[in-house]
Amino acid sequence: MKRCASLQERLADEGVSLVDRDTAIGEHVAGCAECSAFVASLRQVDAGMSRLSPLAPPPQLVARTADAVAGNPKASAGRSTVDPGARRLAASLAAVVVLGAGFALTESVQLELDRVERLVAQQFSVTDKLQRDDLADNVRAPETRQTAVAHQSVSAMPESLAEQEAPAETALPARRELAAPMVAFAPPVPEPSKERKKPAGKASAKSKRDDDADGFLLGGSVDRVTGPQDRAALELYEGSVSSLSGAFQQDQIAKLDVEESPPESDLSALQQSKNATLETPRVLAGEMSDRDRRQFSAALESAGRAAGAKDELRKNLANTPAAGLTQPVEPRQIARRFLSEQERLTGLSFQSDSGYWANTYVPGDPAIRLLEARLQRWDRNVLSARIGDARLENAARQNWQPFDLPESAALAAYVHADKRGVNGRTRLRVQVGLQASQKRSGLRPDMNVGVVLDLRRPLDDATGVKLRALVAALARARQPGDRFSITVAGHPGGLLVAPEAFRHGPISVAMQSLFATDKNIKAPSMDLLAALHSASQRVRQEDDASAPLGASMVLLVSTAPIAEQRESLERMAHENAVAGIGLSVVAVGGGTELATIDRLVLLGQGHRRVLATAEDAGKLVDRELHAASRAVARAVRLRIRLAPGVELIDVLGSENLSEQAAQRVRDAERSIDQRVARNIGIRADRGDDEEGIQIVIPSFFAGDNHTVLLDVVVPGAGPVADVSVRYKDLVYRRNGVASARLAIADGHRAPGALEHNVLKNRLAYELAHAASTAGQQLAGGDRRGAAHTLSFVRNLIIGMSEEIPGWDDDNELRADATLLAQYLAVLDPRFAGDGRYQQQLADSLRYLAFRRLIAPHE
Amino acid sequence: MSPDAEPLETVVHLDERNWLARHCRGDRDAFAELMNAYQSSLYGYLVRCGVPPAHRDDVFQEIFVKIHLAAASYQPSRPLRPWLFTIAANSVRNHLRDESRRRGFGDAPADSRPSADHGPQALAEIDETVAWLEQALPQLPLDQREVLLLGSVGGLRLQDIATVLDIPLNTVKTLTRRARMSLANALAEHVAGAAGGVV
Repeated sequence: MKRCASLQERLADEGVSLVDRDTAIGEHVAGCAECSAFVASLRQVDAGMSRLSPLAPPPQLVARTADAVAGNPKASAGRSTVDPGARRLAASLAAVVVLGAGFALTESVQLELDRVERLVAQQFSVTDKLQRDDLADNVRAPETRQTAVAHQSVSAMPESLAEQEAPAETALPARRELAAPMVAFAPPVPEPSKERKKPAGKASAKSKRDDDADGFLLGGSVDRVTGPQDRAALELYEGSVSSLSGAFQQDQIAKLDVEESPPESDLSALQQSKNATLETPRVLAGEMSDRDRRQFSAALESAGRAAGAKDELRKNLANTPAAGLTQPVEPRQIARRFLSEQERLTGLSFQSDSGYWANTYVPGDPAIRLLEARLQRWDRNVLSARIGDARLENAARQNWQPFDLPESAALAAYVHADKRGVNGRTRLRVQVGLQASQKRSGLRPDMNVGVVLDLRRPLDDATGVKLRALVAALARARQPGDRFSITVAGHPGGLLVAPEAFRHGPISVAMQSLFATDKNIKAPSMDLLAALHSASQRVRQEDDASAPLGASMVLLVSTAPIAEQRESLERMAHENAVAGIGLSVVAVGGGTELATIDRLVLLGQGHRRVLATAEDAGKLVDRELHAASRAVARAVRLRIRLAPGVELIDVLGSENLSEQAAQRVRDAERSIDQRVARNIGIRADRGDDEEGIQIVIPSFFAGDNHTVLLDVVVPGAGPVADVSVRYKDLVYRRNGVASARLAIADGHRAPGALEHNVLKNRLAYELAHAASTAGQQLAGGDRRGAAHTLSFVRNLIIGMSEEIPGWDDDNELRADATLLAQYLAVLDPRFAGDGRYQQQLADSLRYLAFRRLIAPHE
Repeated sequence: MSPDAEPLETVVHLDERNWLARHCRGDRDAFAELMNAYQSSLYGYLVRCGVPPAHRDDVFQEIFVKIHLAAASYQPSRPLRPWLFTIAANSVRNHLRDESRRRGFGDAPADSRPSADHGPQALAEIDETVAWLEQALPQLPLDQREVLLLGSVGGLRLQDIATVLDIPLNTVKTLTRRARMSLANALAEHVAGAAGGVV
């Protein structure tokens, strides 16, 4: 009887199909009257439940509910009280003003358009940055700066673009059960002070990192094995060590070349355009004269506020960038050229669709952390007074992606294209999307950490304070199962605090003796290599083979250069990493060498962090100790195999790796594979190359998503690509595989939401590239060039929002346009003509380039 | 909901994820589209959860007004259905709790059957087991009723149900098991001619 009860529980739990799946259970049920009756009843219940139909509410109730929603007090606050006719009239008047200004300058605009058409073709005919710089240089010619009106006629467009151009979007159908009366609803008004509210339900729980505004910790997970940004990143570090070690040198900025303000004629022409344009107040209010401001306010009064959300977007998108910096280009024309270039089939060069390509998923990129730390020091109060929202780069976000979270796996793969159907040979973008589970691999495991304090050189007071704060933070973060020890390199050297003595009292005593001025000069010394070796051995002895990967590590607290022993240190870091003992480095003080440290942690498969202030020690330690639990997949091997006849033009943002770099990727992959097998028991299965494009991502983090875009030419309808993702699933502790295929239908089909998503991601790449280029230009003192680059991509975004059905009220594009307008306002020579903020803005733009594509975190 | 038949969302409903964003931007049709798509499943949920006929209109309206007010907080990167049912489940729970306090006894409502709006003819068309289930479901404890209905009427997966109800996945499984066992046993008794309802 007990067995029957237990069996019935199982049947209720796992379903009646268990009877068919399990022979023993089937035999029991067949011979047991009670269980047989139970199974029959359960089948009936299941069948009945599945046939419970939705219940249509009474029509009157639907109508009343619609009224209740429409009449909700909160919603009504956001409704326009202006008569629609008056709204159209106001919009028309504004259009006439703008068009008038536009016609007055038609001739010069046309000349300029012809010129820019050529340049645009050049811009998108190649992907090399130098070509873009050429474009910026060309567009920078003085004669091209005198008009800025043409594209502002966008406000003369019909009141509702959606009404004029029916979206061709054919999004996947949602379930619809019953027809309901169509009722007009007043939209709720988002609170302006909150960009994103907290979701009401857990189903839409917001990713924690969205609110993670920490920018002061410099913790770079060097998860990229290699990549195109490596060189730039390392150059960035080496060039910035001095600024990291001390306060930001304002006088260095003053030495940068400062461009003169544009000629008076330029300003007057631009002033006209400004007067004729409905501008976003917070962007330009500070630049306007009182008269301008009054006119602007009047225009807003008459047309802007009343025009509804779409008109607001159009105004916003059409606003004039900072005076003297606008390119006289019709945004829509730029967009058409861009789209045309996306279709071009002539003059292309193709690449091999096999081999290893650089990983572009680098959320812990050291360059991001470095930029974050530098930007954190930027006092933006003056800037806020000028442009209102001075978050700039921090306002940028990844595009949201239509990827559902994986249900019972750490990763899911998706593949889409920017076209649904083709006629013959066609160029298209293929997007491979990866989405990680939000479920983490678990709580923080018990940690086995050997801390090495590098005290080979005397510390200044500030560094000493930070170092003590770091040790104190470790003591506070210690949990019962943790095994921490402290070893000192220098004089006196050796084991300072053993794991069993790692408590507040002994640590305090040890640290006091360590920093005592009257040191025992007879105490033995220990060099850094020996100290690291000693700590590593201790960690290895304590290592628990069943602990998760990353639970055992050596943490070097670096206060002095380590270049003299670099090779030996790197060899040891590599050996430790292969044995499952990671090496992370915390740089404290100004004597550290970040470039050397990065190489070290790359080999040690750990993290590099910089402790900027003693107050940050707690967060730094917390992040380091929790790093092991954030990754949901390791050794992610993405393989993209193109179908026969499909030709590869490029993998955007990546590069085909040299054999030497590819070998490093293989080595790192195998190392992770073996460590995971040893520590977690997931079978090692790596070591062989595969067909097609191979990208290895060392770690993928909970809740993240990432897209890889391929520019390809297909011979016609049919299969395009198949994608497989093999990974070490740390959530479910197994080898995971996700796969997806893409085939293109025959004949032209209107693009739907998925296709537009791919195109929008392509556009995001363009923005990121432009931001990076502008950052470089600005860092080199070329403010005007940077402004032109930004203005150009902003016009592209504006044009695309007009050109693509359904994008006219797209929040992400609107945010991009607004953000770029803010940069342009700050770059206005009348505001920043003395070079103020030039270096910060350069950093900000570089950071934007990362942040627009990747959500930054540890 | 049978574990054998757990809904498998193979299609990403992109279009519906844009409804609330469009509504926030002033698109007059977006909310009506949402109501068209979900009014029946949400109404079915609240009816079968045991909201008495006299209060169904209020709860139904309350759900959609809450959806309207919370529209700006919805993230299109997440599925819409669980988000809507989170609001619905909370509204129904709140209502039943308040009702229970007013009445001064347990959470089982006096009459949880579909209202007469659907007519006797409609009920007659439902087969015998379904009709029996309509009677038996309200007799289940509320937590068991919720997980069953969110799965069958709401079309949610177990993980989504856990999220909607803010309970662990294993608890959802346990409640589902108990509910199914109760219903199966009660149906067996019913078929055998035994008097007595669901445990």
